[in-house]
Amino acid sequence: MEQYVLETSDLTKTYGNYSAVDGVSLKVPQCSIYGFLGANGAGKSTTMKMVLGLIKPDRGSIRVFGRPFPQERTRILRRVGALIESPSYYGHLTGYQNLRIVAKLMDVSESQIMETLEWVRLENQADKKVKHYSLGMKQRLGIAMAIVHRPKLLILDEPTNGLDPSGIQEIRSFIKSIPEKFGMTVLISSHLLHEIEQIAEHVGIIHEGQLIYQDTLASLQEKGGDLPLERIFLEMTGQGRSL
Amino acid sequence: MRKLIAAEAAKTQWILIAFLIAVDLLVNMSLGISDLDMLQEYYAANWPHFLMVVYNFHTMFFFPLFSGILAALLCSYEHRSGGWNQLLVMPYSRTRMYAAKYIMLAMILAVIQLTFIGAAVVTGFLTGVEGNMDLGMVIISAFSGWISILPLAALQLWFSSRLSSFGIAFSLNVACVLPNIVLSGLHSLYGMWFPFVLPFYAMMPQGTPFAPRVDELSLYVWIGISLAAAFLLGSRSFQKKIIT
Repeated sequence: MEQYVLETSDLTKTYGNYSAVDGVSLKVPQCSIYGFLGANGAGKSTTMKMVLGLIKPDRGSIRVFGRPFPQERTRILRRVGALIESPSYYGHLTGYQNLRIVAKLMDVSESQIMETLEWVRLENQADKKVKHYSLGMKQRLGIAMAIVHRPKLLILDEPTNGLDPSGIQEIRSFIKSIPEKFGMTVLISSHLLHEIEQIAEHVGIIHEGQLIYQDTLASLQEKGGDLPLERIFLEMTGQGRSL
Repeated sequence: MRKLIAAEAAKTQWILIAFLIAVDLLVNMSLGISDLDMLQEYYAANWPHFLMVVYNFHTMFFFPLFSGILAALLCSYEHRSGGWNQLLVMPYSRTRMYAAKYIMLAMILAVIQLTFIGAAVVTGFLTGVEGNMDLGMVIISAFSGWISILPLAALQLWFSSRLSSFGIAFSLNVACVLPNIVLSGLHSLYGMWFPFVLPFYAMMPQGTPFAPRVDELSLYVWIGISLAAAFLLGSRSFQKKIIT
């Protein structure tokens, strides 16, 4: 049986009559990059926030590292890193100070802070206030803050949103190297098909709150035969709008 | 818990707090010195009268106002730029996160109170206030002033954790300290229900012309009850806080 790092079952969140997330059962295998794909408003962020305990689900269960969430919330969150609706930062502090606050709360050594700063290539900007950072630098700092304690599961919600093409390329190359370099499993959401196509091995497609596909990217390609991926997605979601 | 408090301390803009303290000291000490000269025909220039003048604006306006400004400041770091997301996915219970913010707020208020009292004593000696200073009374008034601000601080943190606008929080606080002018004249049994006036009742030196009429037992029982209630309700509301 395959070991899942994250497994949700029948996860549901309703706001009034509107189902933001409807019976989602995610299965994220270990040490993969799992692309969570869906149009804006499809329920990606809500699902991720439920997994992190920021929103309480109406129904369903969550298991992380095989343990129930939120019953073992603190224990689980020690081994989870997250960048949600980024960038999150304290603008009046420097990049280094931002990282230090997280490091303090997570019991991380000074050398690991420096190592992380170097890895996201912010070591020369570490003493600059974050409010003066460019969006790309803020995003790199966000990733540094999410991985400074070397979590086993990294959750990234649209990490390339709003970046210019070179910034997107940069973040993408960081994310791609994470599973191998740090042994982390990555759950990344995006509304851009070609982005997920370039980095993910597994893919889950959410449409109007429902998970309509979940498997490896390769088997999705197989399933579509000669059709280009974009076509397969559009047919699945039954809409002409671009993902 | 210590780590959470240390993280709060690392975020805090101490320079702003130093500025608030400087304003508090400058205004109240100069009032104390000038009033001591001006009012000599009415009052003896002794310690109780000097402290009465120095305490007056601090207890009535500055101290309650600062509790609001500081609570808003401590929460503003999270209200800006997705900070709640960042904090609430940390492996600590929300109760502890909320308590850490409250302890930080209470500690800063203690620092303000200590600096204020220290400055009052030094200023009094430098300007040559007559007679002996009752050190016990000064220490007790400093301590009871701090205790009496704690329910208001809990209330402020509750609202600040919900309310993201620093500007609105500040304006509301300014509006809320103004009724103190009237309420401070009432007996504590009638005025103590309004949390902004509590430091005035607790700190003003008794036996002086500005001293309020205070029933200590009911005052401190109410301070205890309202502190527990405001903190628990605030913490409960924080548990349910939803990040949108």
